[in-house]
Amino acid sequence: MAAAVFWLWLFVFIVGCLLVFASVVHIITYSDLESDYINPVDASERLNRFLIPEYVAHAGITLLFLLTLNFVPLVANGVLVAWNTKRFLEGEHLVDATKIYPTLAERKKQSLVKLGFYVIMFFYYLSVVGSAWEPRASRSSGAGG
Amino acid sequence: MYPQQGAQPPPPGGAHDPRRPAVFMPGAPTGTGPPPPGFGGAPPPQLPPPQLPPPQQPPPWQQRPPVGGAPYGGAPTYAPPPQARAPPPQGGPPPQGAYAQPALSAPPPAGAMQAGAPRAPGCAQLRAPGVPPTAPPMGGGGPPPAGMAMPPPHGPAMGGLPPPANAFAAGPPPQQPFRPPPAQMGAPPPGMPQPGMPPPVHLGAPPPGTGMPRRGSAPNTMAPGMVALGPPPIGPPPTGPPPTGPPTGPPTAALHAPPTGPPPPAMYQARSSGSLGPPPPAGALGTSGPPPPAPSRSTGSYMGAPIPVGGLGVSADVDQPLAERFVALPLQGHGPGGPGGALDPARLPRPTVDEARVTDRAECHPTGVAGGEQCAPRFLRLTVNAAPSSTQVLQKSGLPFGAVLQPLAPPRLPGETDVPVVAFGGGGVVRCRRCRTYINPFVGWLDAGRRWKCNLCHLANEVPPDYCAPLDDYGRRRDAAERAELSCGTVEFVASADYMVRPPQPPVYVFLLDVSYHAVSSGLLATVAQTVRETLDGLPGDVRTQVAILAYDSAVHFFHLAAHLSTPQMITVADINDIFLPLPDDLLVNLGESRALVDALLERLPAMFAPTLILDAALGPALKAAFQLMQHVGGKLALFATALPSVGEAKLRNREDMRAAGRPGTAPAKGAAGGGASGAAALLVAEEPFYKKLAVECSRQQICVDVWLFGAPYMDAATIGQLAKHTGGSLCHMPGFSAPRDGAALAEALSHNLTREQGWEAVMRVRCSQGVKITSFLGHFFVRGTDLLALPNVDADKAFTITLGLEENVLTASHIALQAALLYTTSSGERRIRVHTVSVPVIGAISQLFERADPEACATLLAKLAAERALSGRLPEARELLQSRLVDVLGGFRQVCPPDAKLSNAVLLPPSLQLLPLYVLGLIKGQAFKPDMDVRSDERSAALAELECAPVHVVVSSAHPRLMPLLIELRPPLGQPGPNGHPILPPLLPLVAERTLANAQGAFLLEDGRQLLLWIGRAAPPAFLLDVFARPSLDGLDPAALAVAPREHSVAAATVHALIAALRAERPGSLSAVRVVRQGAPEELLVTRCMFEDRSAQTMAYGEFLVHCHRAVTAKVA
Repeated sequence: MAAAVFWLWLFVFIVGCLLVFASVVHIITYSDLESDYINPVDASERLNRFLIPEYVAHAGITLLFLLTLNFVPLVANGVLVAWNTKRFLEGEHLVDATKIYPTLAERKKQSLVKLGFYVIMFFYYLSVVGSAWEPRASRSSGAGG
Repeated sequence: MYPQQGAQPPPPGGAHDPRRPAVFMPGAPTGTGPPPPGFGGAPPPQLPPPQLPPPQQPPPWQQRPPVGGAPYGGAPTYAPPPQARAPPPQGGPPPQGAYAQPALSAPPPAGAMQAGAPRAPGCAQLRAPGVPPTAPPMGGGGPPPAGMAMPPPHGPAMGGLPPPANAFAAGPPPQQPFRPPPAQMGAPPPGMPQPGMPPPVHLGAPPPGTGMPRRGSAPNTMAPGMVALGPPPIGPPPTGPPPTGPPTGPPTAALHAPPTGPPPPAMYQARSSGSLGPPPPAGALGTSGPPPPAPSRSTGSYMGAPIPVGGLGVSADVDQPLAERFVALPLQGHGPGGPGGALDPARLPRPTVDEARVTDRAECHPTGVAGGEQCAPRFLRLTVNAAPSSTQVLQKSGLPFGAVLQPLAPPRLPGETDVPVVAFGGGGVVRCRRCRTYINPFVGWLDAGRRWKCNLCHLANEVPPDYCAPLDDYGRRRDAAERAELSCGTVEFVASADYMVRPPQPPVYVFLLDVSYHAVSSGLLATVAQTVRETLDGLPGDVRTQVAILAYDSAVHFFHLAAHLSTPQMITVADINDIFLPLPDDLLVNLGESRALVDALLERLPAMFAPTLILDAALGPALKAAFQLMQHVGGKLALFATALPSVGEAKLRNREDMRAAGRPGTAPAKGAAGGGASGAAALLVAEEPFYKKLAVECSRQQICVDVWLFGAPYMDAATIGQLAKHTGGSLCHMPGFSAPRDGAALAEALSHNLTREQGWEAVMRVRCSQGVKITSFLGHFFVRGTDLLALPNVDADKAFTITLGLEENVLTASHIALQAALLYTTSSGERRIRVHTVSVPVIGAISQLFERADPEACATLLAKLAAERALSGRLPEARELLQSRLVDVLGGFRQVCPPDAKLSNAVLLPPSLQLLPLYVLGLIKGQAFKPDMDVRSDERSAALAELECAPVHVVVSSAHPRLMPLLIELRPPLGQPGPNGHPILPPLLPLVAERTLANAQGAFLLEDGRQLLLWIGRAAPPAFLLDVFARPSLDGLDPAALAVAPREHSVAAATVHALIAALRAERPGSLSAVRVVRQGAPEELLVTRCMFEDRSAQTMAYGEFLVHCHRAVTAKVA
């Protein structure tokens, strides 16, 4: 059981890493766009490519928290899931190449906030994985012996 | 109006443009400005004795007061009462005397107007107290009326100048009717300006009855003086020094009357003069009778000058901050406008003929810093010809801050020249190293000309060795005059190969024709084919021009046009789900080589599809095919559609029907509407993403799509229009096209669309000085960078709007510059960079910002902001935006008004922006924004799309249609070019139905930017009908078949033709032949809906609107 919990948290941790990565990609793309290193069509393609996977991954781990009744990360992530869902239902989640500039500053700020959140969660997952590691290590060594 | 235009010598201040001096307000800190009109002249003693009027007959167009204009008469500009002025001699309102005067003077010249001869009441009103035949004429050798209304600042130079302005703009000869005889006699004849003295200025009101709806030129030309609506002040004139005159200037009185004459009564009268005049004859337009004489009380005063209450007072004083000039519209008692009172409808600000023309404005651009020429206003107009010194100032003023750019604007006036072309040698165009600004007249020169300082980023750049030139004592280059880029605000650089990513593209025209049943049966196909065929010769382009023709119904038809064929071959691709090009080449062919085939095809097309019964339209696949055809080269795609796309990809559904049926599921598709869109407003939001995606792709491939929609039922213009919006194209919507009725209009619009000047594969970058930033772009384009617009095709009629903001809280520079550079390929295959530069001062005083505000540009900017909001599905918010921004402006102005003025119960308007409320109201009640549910969503979408990319003059004419009386003397000067280059038009009438259309004996010409309508009252005078239509009566005739009699028939008919031609010339392509509308006919709606000053079920009348805004302002300020 404990091994399952460990693997579960390890999976969550990896997803957390990917989310951080996705946010960083967003921010880099927005910065590139601001300084004209990329044109808005390519930029919006790149951004939109990462959006749905990000939403799905994030919703997935939140569901895991719900199933495993981990309330602290559930509440923390639940807020973001709700916000993502709202954006999705409003149809504002995708970046529109024709309107990207007026919303650039706002979106960049959102990405930064998201990045901060993901980083905090990243460390949270890391600590939990770390704490889950010890029992497993002792148990596995015990089992091995 | 630009009275000074052509009549004014260049002021000594170094301005090159004669129009410029108008920028300077009298008393403005810019001490170099010309002395204000009316004050800069000679002292009274120099006035010559009364002289006999010159022998010339007054031009007919000055003799006759406008129909019905009187009650709404505009005010000329008035100077504040100078010290020398005695109180008005008459206790009564001046107009009474004025009325008596013309009545006494003489009957109108005989034969003034045949049509009017019967003296039908409707005509009688036209014949105002006329000008006595012997009266000193305004025209001829005399200074033109405009000059009289507002004299040029420099009297001496005035002498011998040609009559400048439009007679109508200037109004009827001011002097006769209005002034007491002594004054009149004493006034120097206008025709004989004396050296060293200013031409007589008739600051008095125009004769009663002639009160054409015109406003004084001052507010708009920033002339000095006050605009006074209403009765003369009762109080004593100000005892201060002459308000704005230079110290040497004589008191204004000199301009009014010789010192020996009794002072003219009117200091503050003016706008009300018409209304105060005698009631129009029975049957006159003013069915409600003339407004009551204005109250003669005056409440309060400031600085010793009485504030006219019951009048419109604009005061100015040389010692006063400029802020203290304002237009006050007093609220009178408890009128129908609401508990707090109402405004006198006759005194509301309305544009004059020249103001409504807005092709350019005298004050548009002040002189540049370095004395260089500013970019002409036809290319670039700033809402405020200055930059606010801080964000706080900008916020407090409430003024919109932005610019409207029309980079390829054609010359509209005879004097306007083409843009100079500059070719730099191998070194390339001189540009700033850091910010890439192009060299312009406003850069600074350092180190004896070895370095130049960028006026945008302030970086000192090295001057290329071969470009060095010595400087003069003022630090300007000695060779500036010979170098266009150093002396002209607009230049065109020949772009080197650095500016090309590929060889300049050839002009490519692809026509995607609808050949389904509706298109064929309505005659659309035939009209388009014929127009295109006739236009082929006129297509801009060289030998490289390429053409392709595609057609679609439920399938897509390609035409093989290879030059070696003897006849064109049609290839039909029925597999619309997987569209492909049946031939790799020979669909897009060189026009010169395949000309015979193209001609033959266009000729045969209508017959080929005549038997069709197909109703479906596979628009999506056809567009994809066209895209594939053009994607390697780019070009211009003209898309014609008569039905909603019903098969294949990108089908659209009839959202309007579904909404009407009340079915759910009509909410805009996900991703389309940013929340809040509902009901009718949601229909303005694009639904199917295909079109927008395709548009973005087209933009990348340099394809511009012009969308022509003709379907009578719903066409989803909002969705299909996305193609035009993001590719720099235009959207034209002619619902229910039928060739007999609309064929001419379409042919005109299409051939103009194809033959106007256009630039290919263009990008435009707008740069501004440090501290100022561009906050948004509005128009039809694709934004490809923070300050870069991608324009696959840019044409002469396209305008782009930018809104500006301040990056820093405080601007430290003395001037800021704005530079728009359009890099494009000409139709002849040359790569060019057209650079427009303006440099405006940074100003910290809100009052001075207001003086430099440009009402038309402000209205245009607000219209575009509102259009953007409406197109995002928030139509009610768009209306609110228009109104709240107006309230912001008025509120900002109220803050800088003198306290006394604020206490008086009056609507205070900035003189420069007094027309803004009218324009805003016109916009709110226009097709694009009006709340009525009966505006079809397609019509609204098309109107909004047009608004988005229309230049200033088109926006203004749609906001404020021009209504002109025809029951005037129709004689040649009308419609002919006037002294200022503009055609002479009759005076404009207020857009009030009960004053105009209620008169069954009237006849009017209406122009709203899209159509020309000739409204004929039920009981129009037979003489008029006989003259103009060659029929004594129009009863029983088919209005569609009615046309103005040929030119040769009579002078009147020829004049009407000339008027129509003049109006059409001002709006090329958009106005087709005039349509005759008889009173009571169903088409009358086209006219009545333009009468926006009236109240409607959901909207306010003009006066009420002003009061409403006033309330909002006072609530906000308090």
